[in-house]
Amino acid sequence: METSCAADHSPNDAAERTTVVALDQSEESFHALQWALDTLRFGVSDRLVLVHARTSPLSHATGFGGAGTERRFFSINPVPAMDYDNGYILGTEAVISMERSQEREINAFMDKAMELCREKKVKAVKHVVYGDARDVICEEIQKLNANMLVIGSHGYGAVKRTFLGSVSDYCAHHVKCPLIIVKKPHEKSHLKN
Amino acid sequence: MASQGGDDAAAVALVRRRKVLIAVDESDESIYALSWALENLIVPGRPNDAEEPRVSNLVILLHVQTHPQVFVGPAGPGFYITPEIIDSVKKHQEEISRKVLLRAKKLCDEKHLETETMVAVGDPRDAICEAVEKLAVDYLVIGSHGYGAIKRTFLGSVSDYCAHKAKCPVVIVKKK
Repeated sequence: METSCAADHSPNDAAERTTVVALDQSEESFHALQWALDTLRFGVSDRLVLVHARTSPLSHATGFGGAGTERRFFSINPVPAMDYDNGYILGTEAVISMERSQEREINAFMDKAMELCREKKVKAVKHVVYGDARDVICEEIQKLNANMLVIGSHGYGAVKRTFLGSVSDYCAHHVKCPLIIVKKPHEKSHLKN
Repeated sequence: MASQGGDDAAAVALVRRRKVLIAVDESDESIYALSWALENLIVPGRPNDAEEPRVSNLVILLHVQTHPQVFVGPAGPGFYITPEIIDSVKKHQEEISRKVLLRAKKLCDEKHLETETMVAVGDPRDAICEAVEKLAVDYLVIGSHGYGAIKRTFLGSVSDYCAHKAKCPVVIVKKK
């Protein structure tokens, strides 16, 4: 007998809900993920999409990562790769090896995150996208038609936020879906967790 | 009789009680935020987590009244505020609070949730953040008016302030 999901219209069994969780390597974002897994209820038809925005290692090498970095796609040519902005010349091999090591790091913490989801029996997928975190998160939410965003926050003060920029701030302003900003508590005072 | 979410206290040991503070006002965005939260975050008794220790939710509905300030211009007060005016404004605000909280409580009662209502006076930004601290809530739910079509942003100032200042996770629900 085929089970038809459409028959039961109770709101809890509604269509698959997608929750995007923005991750980077920081403790704050893992704390946000753990909080979501502990506090929110995920049904069998819900899924988490763990989104990580990846900057190209070239920008790390030239110290130019962060805001305004467009996506870069590497082509593997025998020609030395040149970073025209800063006049560096990096051989293709150097670039590839930086890429690989960055990938290893990313896979390491993303797998840790997937493990956390597995422990709570929540369906999760990884999306690692090149680009600036602000844009990547907002775009993924649009593309996936996400129902909700969970994002950690470093808790910068107003001045730091102006200079360093804040991804959670940006997302709070630009995404249209509900979002949850989870800060890592400084004092252990009243949190029961 | 007020409906309670903790009616199974006798049967199952409640491991913890989660406090959720939901800021409400007269706007539609606010009621939408409340119903979204009830539907998506505070869903009681999901059948698929039988192993999970029972968590009961306490919903605290907060309405913040803003009382008008006396405006004192360079040539003296703009107009004189008499005690009668103050009283009448207070009464009016009380009436608004009553209506807002009643409407909100009704939604919670439909879901059979334990609910408390609360009124604070002052700037909503500070009042909400203070309430978060004083009550040690687990998280805050707030709607967003999102007046920002010109700047192409969708976040109101109260929700923006609370997102940064509140000492707990903040759920911002934008208007549909």
